[in-house]
Amino acid sequence: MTFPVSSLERVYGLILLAYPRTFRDQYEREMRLVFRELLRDPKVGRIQLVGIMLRDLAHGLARPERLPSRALVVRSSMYGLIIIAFSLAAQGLHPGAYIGVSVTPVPFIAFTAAGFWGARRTDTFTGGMWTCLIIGLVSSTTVLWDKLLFGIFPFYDAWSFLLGLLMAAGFCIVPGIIGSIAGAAASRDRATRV
Amino acid sequence: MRPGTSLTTSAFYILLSLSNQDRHGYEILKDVMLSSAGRVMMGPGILYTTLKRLLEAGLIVEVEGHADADRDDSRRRYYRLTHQGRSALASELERMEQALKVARTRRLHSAR
Repeated sequence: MTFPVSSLERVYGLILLAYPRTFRDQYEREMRLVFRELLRDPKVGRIQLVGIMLRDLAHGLARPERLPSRALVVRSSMYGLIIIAFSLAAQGLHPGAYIGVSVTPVPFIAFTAAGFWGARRTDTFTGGMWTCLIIGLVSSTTVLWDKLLFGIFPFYDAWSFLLGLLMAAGFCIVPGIIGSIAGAAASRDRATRV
Repeated sequence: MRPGTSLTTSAFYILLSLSNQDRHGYEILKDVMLSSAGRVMMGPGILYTTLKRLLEAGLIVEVEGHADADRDDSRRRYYRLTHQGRSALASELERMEQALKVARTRRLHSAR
């Protein structure tokens, strides 16, 4: 007996990619079968089905093993605080140097290193990206500390500040990915050597 | 799942669904919807991650086909409650009953 493959089923196939490969190897066939039956069930409406799909997507993405450990959050936050301390010290010692420093390749190198460190520590690419995100979030508050301590706010308003943050995040995401890939690859290499 | 810890909503309803017969995934989903009066609606993702967790905890086992030959579907995996699963379900029900008793008493008190 063959079943028609609807577009919702194809989308659900993509949602399944959010689950780990080992899990999919074990249960994907059954999950697709159950979803197909839900599609054919007249008691299950399309809106209900979309709700199920969204919940399954969220469930797949927010698996506990994907979330950073408390130790990683603490360590990454501490590195973020060190960055803030350096920036504030630089601002205190050489006023006006802040803008010059922020646009140099320093963040690029720093986030490559951060991604590499996080990925090596957790043996996963996700760990590297979490490290970059936490360091980025903590260190981005430098602007607010500058405002509080030195009265400097190099943005016109909150919107331009938000835009600046997004641009900085965009600038840091590439080195973060590079570092995380390298770190995860190095971990695999270490594992095969052992 | 450590002994003595309470079950998640999805784990509870899955165990409840398997308490009277072996079932496959879709049968479990339908029964959960029915027994929760439509309040708990799981997708295959939540269903199978919970089933995996319950299997690892030894609360359920996978069985070959269905005991009732007419209902057996060879494409499916069937699940059965273990003795450990039955006790986990019983203690969860006991905990709920106790909580319900307390809630009822407090409501009676506040009604006075």
